[in-house]
Amino acid sequence: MRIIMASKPVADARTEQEMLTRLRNGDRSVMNELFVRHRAACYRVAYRLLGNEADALDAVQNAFIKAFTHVDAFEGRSSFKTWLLRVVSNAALDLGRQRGRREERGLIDVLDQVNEVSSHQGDPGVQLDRDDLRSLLDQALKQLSEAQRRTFVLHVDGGLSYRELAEVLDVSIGTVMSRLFYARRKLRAFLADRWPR
Amino acid sequence: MNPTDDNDFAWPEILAAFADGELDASTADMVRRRIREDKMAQVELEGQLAFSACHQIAWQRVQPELPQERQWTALWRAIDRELSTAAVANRDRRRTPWFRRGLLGLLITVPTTVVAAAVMAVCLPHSPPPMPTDGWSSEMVAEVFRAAEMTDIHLLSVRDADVAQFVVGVAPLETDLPLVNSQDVRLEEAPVTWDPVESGLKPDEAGAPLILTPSVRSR
Repeated sequence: MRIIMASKPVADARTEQEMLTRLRNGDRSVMNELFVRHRAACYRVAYRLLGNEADALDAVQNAFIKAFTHVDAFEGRSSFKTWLLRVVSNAALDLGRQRGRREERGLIDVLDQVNEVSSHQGDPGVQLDRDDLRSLLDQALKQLSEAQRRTFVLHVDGGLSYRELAEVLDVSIGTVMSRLFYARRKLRAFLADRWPR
Repeated sequence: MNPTDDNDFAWPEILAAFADGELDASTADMVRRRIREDKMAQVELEGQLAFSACHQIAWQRVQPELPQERQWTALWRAIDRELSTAAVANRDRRRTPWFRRGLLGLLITVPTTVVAAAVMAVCLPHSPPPMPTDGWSSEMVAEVFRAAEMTDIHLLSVRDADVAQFVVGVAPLETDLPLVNSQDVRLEEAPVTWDPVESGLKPDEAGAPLILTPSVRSR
C-alpha cells in the first residue's frame, strides 16, 4: 500500500504568482509586500532555530536578501512561502554554526534556568512563567539533532505540512514522519520531568 | 503490532501523522478500521491525540514574541539598502561590455606586474651564480656563446618599402659565429658576492673570469 499525504490548499497562490512574475520582471515594489506577508513565519522559524531575537533578525534579513536576489531559482514547484522558509532555515542554521560559541554560552544559561526551575517545582504556587517555558522549550529543542530540529520547527512554527516538508528538505515523506515522530518522543522525554504540573 | 506490514512506515509514525491530520483519505480510513478492530491501537491513538493537542497548545503558548513595528521597519530598510546596492552593482556590470572589462583588467594588471618585477629586480639582493658541482673543465669555459640560431628569427610582417633592403638567399655563414669567449672578457671591477676559492672553484691564474654557461648550469 502506498501512503499519500493530504495536501493543503495554498492561500492566495494566484496573487502570489502574479507578484513573483512582477518581481522577476524587475518590479521591486512587490518586495515589501512579500516581506510583510511572510516575515512573521520566517522570524518564528529563525528564532526557534537560533534561540535569540538578534540572531533571528539577522537570519531573516539574510534570507530575504538571498531570496529576492535569487528569485529566479524559485521554480514554482512549491509555494513561495515553503521555498522562503527553506531559505530562512538554511540561513539560520548557517548563522548558528558561525556563532556556535555564543550558542554554547546560551545553552549554559538555559541549563541554569532549567535547573533552578526544576528545584522549585515541588513548591506549591510556583508556576513557570512564559519566559521560563520558552527557555525550557528552547532547551528541549537543543536536544534534537539538527535535522530533527529543522523538520520540527518548520512544521510547528512554519506551519508546513508533511508534504511541504518533504519538498523543502528534499527527503521522502517517510523521513519526515520519522523525524517528527522521534523529535516529539525526545521532547516528551526531556519535558516529562520538567513540565509544570 | 504493525498494521502496515506491506509498507515502509511503522505504526506509531503513521498514528502520529494521523493525529496531525496529514494522511490522505484512504490511509486515514485504513487507520480508522484498524483502530476499530484493535483495542490497543485505540489506546495508542488516544495517547497520541492527547500528546499532540497538549504539545500544540504548549508550543503556541510560548510562541516567540514578534519584533515591534519599528524593528520590522529597520529590518526592511536594511534589506532594501542591500538589495539596492546589489542591483546597482549588477546594472553597472551589465553595462560594461565584457571586452572592455577584460581590457580594463589588462590595463591594470600589466603595468602593475611590470612595476612589481622592476622593483623586485632592483631591491632584492642578487644571489650568486649557481655553482657547478662537478665536471668543471676548460672546454666548457671556452664554449661558444651563440646569440641566436637561424631558426630563432621569425618575420611576421615586413613593410613593402623594406622588402627591397632584404638580402634574399642562403645564410652567409655556414658555421657558427663566435661572438666572445672567456679569453676575450676581463673583469675589472665587480662586487664580490661570493668567494670562488671558498666555494671550491679555482679561478684561472691569468685572471680570466669564470663564465658559467647555460649548459653547465643545467647539470
